[in-house]
Amino acid sequence: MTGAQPVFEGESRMIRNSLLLLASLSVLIGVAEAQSQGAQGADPLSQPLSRWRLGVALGYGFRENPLIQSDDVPILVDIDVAWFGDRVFFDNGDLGLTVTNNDALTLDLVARINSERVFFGRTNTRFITLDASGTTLDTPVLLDVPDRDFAIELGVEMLTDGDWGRLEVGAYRDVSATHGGYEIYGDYGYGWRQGRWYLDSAVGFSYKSQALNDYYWGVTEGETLASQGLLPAYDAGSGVNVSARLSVSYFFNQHWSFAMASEYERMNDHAASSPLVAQRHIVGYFTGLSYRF
Amino acid sequence: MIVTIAFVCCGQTLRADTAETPTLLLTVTPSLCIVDRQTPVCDAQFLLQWESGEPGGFCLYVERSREAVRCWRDVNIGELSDERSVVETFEYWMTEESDDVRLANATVEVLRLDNGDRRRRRRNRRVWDLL
Repeated sequence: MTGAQPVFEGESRMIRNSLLLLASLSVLIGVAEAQSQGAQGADPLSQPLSRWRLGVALGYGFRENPLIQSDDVPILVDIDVAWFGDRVFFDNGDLGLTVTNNDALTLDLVARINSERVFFGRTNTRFITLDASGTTLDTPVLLDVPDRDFAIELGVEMLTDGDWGRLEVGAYRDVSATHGGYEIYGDYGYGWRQGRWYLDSAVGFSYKSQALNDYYWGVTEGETLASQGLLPAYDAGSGVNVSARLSVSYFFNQHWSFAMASEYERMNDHAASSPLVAQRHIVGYFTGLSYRF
Repeated sequence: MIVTIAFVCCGQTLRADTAETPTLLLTVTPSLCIVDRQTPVCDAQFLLQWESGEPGGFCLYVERSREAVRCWRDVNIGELSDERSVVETFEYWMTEESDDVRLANATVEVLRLDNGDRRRRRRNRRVWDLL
């Protein structure tokens, strides 16, 4: 999956207005922060990291698409755009407001776009000649994978870390009347550095509520009719996805590095049993050269 | 008379010298130092090695110090191990003992992967958190 996503595709005007409002607030607070920063000066021996984190990676990779009649998501370019102020931040589409930040933990309120929709943007329309039981149909049926919308979600996240690694837990709820559900997740990561090499690993879980799961992975009666019964009606319940990530980087200099990364995600039982899903496991992989500005 | 013309190109000073200005090559190892939250300061032994086309008196300098780190006389090759704690990219350079014109530079880049800001390490919803 690349950083450039067609986020406004199929969005309602309300969602667009919400995003514009959040963006405007962030810019206003960001300008105020930048002005207060300028007055503080800088310690030449301890230059703060730039507020911006900008980078681009070129290489080859893919992310498997679990949907039927779908293509894997190719990854040729990955763009990283983030800005971190004292109170607000933008991180590749996420807008955050930092409520608490102390030695023990960081607490943020975050607005984000649910990423589950991304799979539905890479499906194909096909003529089907066999039904689910393998019986030949009298006439071929044109089967479309039903479309789904992006959802705007608001949530809270808590970050903490130490010599033992880093932990992130959070909860998000739909505020765009798209799926009406929520997600609770946890992610634990640990990194090792040896000279120019950096190895990072993480494992996580994500609980998806019934409403969220059913919106993306359920099949409505209308969709069953439209598919002439090829997609049986399906109600998805809640469930837990689990995931693991591993990445290795080698830094040539301040800007250039070589990077390899892989990710595995196991979909929850209810999503995996959906007529829309062809495979339960989602594997992603990327290797390439990365430039950090 | 020595005629020196300086060009500034791409952030480096290149010199078009007559034959009387010694050619000198300076290298530093390591040339990259990575700092992060767990290792906020780069404490390292930097190995400086230089070689000149002809013997002479040469001095090695480092940024933020007016004094030479070390000078050599009547030699065309030398090396030095310099222990230093740094947090920013800095340069070593060499001059002739009798001159302050830089004959060669060697840069140690300090790459900061992160600081104490946990938000920079938050889970990224993109698959590839590489940069």
